[in-house]
Amino acid sequence: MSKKRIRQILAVFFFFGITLLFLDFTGVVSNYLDWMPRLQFLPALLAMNFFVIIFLLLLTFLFGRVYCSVICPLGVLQDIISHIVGKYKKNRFFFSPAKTFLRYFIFFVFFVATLFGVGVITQLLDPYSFFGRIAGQLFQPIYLGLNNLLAIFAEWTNSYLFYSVPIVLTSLTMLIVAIGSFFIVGYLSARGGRTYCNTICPVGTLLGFFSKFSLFKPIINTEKCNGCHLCSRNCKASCIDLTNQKIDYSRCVACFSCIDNCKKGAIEYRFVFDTNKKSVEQNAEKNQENQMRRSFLTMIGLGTATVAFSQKSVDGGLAEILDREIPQRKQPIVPCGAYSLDRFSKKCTACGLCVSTCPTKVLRPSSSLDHFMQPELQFTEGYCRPECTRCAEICPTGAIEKITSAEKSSIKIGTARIVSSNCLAATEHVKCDNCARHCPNGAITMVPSSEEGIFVPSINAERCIGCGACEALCPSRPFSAIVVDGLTVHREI
Amino acid sequence: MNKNINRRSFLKRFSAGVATATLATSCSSSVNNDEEQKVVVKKENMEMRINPNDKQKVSLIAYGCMRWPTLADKREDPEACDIDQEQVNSLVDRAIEGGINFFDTAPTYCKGFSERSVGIALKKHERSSFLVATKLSNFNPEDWTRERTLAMYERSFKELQVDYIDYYVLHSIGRAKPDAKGNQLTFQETFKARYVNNGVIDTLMEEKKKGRIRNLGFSFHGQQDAFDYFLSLHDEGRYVWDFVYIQMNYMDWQHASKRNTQAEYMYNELAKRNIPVIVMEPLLGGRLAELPLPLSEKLQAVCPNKSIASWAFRFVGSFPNILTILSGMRFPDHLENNLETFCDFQPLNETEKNVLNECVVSYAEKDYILCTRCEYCMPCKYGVDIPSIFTHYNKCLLEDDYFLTNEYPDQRVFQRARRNFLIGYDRAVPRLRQATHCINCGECLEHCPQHINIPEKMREIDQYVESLKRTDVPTDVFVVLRKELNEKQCSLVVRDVKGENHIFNHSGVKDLYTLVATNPKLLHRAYLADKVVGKGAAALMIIGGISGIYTRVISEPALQLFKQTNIRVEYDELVPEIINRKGDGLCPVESLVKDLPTAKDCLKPIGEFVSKLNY
Repeated sequence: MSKKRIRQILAVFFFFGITLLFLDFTGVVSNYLDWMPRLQFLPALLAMNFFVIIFLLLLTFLFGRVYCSVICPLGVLQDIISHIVGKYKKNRFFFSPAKTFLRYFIFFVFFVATLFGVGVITQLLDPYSFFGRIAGQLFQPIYLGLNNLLAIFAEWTNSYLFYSVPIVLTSLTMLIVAIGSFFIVGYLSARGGRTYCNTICPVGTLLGFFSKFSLFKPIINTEKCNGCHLCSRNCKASCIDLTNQKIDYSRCVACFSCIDNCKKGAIEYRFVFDTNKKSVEQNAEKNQENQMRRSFLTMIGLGTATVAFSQKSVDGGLAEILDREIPQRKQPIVPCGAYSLDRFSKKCTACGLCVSTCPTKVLRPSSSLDHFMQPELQFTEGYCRPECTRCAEICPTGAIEKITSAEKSSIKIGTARIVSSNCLAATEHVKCDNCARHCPNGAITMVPSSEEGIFVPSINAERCIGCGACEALCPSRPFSAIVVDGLTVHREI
Repeated sequence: MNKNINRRSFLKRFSAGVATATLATSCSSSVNNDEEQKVVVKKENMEMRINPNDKQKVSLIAYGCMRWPTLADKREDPEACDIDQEQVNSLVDRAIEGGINFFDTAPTYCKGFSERSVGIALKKHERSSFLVATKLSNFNPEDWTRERTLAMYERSFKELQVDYIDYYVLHSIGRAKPDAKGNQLTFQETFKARYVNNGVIDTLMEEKKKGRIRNLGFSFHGQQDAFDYFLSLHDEGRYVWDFVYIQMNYMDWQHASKRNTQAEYMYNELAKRNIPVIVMEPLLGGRLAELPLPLSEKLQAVCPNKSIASWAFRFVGSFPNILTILSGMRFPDHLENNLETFCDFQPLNETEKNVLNECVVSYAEKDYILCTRCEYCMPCKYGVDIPSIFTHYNKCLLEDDYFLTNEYPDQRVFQRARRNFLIGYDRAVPRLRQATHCINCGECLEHCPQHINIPEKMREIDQYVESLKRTDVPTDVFVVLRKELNEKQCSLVVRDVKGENHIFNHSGVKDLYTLVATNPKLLHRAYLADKVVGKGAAALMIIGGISGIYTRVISEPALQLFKQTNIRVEYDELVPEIINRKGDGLCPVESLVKDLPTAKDCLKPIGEFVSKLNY
């Protein structure tokens, strides 16, 4: 088996593994593959997982940018697109000098931004998050649609193998960003192979430092080479300068295509300090893309439209249910395990893995500029269930730290407050205690109001953990009569 | 002769030949089927009863127009809840063709469109060929004024497009309701407010004299005292009831829900007075058409060619004072099935009665929610889909999925059943319409003719679902029971199927025997914790149908007896035999049943022993 074939098999394995994590809604896949996103460079860095960082740097120092061609899902996605285009257009690449200044400039901006916690830039440039957005926002809905189709068949046959799940548009902003990202990457890879990786990607630039000096490299044997250019015409990293018989190792992603393509066996992947070594580095440049962003939110719910609260006089039918609107919160609510808003926004790369995996669709990418694309809790579809810790289990950066469900029920992430003007008990004197009844911590009690015989909810803020059960189950629509505000610093109660 | 058969005409001939061949084979096969003697559905064969008041012939099966087919049934437009009028027309035509001549509707049915739909469907038939019944459904306190009530009455004529109504029904009396101000009235006060104080009932009596109403009566849902009251009005001659609608079927005959009256009582009282009975809910909202599997198998063994529903109709129809039986036939196959039952009507014979009675007893054991899907409670203001939630609950009860508590011996069985329940729940009811959204406002309560405490049931289901969602790891029921036995310092703990603990303190087998004799339902599929189990106790437990037992001490013979069953047994100590309290011999019960081979054999001697102890 050629080295290229081995690389392809491994790449496909990683790519499908990570994609499956973003597609899966059952939580089963993460039991087996949750180590994959932890192996990603930036998440590992943010999680201070030095073991992984050292491993990745060593790997690069030994074998070149294998990370980029195998582990990074965005890199593999580009390879897949480029491979498909390559079926129609042969020998479409050519050597281009490195755009060194641009590369280092972007890397510098990224470095400073990450250091000072300017999340937006980190999140937009990090290749793993870049891929996460595409997979979570574009691939997952398709996957869910197929699943729902199977669920319909399953229902016909009375099988419980598949069950349907609601496809929720978690954030239009995020969707637009994802579509934009997909087209940029699609265009760049269809046209120039690994242009993104070798010009924009800060992880690529960083690993490029190391791969320059890597111990194993593809090396041109000048004696055997007949200068046919087959290698450089098929190098998606555009890094083989055959005229000078040099390879820019900072851009080479160790894909081994050149080795397979050379009819003369003039390129070998071997230990550098063997005889006749030839390696120099060169520079590059490329264009840069900016992403547009706009923000507004919509939802696809179950029911729709209004219900007239009138006395019934005929039988049957279903009252229509208004869509829940997202209320104004004093502070955004971030998931349990984030510990504080500041810490969270510095550590989260907005890959959206938690958003994809959240079973109640409570986690939504934020559209506010401070926490752009980072998840926050919204209770339109459900609430943050006490037994569920899936986001904490899957977060690769440690932005949401691992917690047990017991810990979760004692960590306060927000406080509910009552909006009396919406409360049916207070305004319409309906005998309702749904919030009090469903509060998992018993933080809500029904107390007599000023009017006789009417009981209204009252919140014991110290007991409230901010799970949102009350807000989600409040019968008042479109705006709930009880709203949870996030805490800037979470605490144990 | 045209010898040049071209290709097309050849194909024509060929296909004609094939068609004849197919026809021939299908004919021969239908001959084979006819050995099972097919019922001929036609007017002349329909079982008819005679109304003693006006001597008019009434078909024993009547068309209930509460559940007409909707456009949604055809899947053309799942959102459309409108009545599928074309379908209604063809159903009505077929019904009349088959001999059904009684149609029952009400202004509130099918979101208020039933009357109109019936009117349209009946219009092309001669007025004398059918009887129509409609109701005065002034449930809403705002409709209690004379003007509004009479407007409802007049509207029925318009909607039905008739100039007289054969059977006019005071709709669902016997319930106590609050008035417009929210004050709770008694059932008498409610009746008076609806019909007497506003003078409506006197007007209706006059209308009867005028001939615009041919028969006047009421439909009843409620308790016995209310029923007695309305009959006393008849006895005193205040109002004459020409007929009464009662809920009657083989379950309600003797096992009506607590808030309803036993059908046996109502029927006998009415028969005594020679008032014709019109039967509502012969299938208990369809539930008697789809019995739990072991029960339906029992019935099919007796009548393999008859539907399960036909049993219910034949049961009710076997009583002579029944004028007609209302059945809401939503689909053509329901109609055909009923036509077959009633065009060849045979009352139940003795063997059939006995088999049915066995089924009734075992059916009554389970705690079904007696929802008939009449949708009187709907629409719930808060969007809760009450009937669907109850249907799902009953379905799971039927398939035994519901009786899961988190304490469950087999983890895999629990996890599979848990998953099925939760997925099935989401399929049956959209999330926003599930029980968790019931706010306990109680507005549905007064509308339920079955007097189901809807909010309470919703809360129960919600708590159950919540407990299932919280964990997929069952806790071992024996751990719980062991703790309970130690903490409560009692002699016996019975954890019933719902997970409720019952504590008993008597020594010996007395508690167990009393349970088996008086309250066998409690032991059914229960888990028990006991201090000492000998063979006698083991026999009683097996007869009670328990699922598992934890005991500190068990005797060898008892364990042997359990091994014949699949009851799960856990014990701390195994002894050859149980000794008596003095410690000088065998425990008296143990010696009594020592040589009896099966659990059933032990019941009688133990009974004699226990009754001796009591004196």
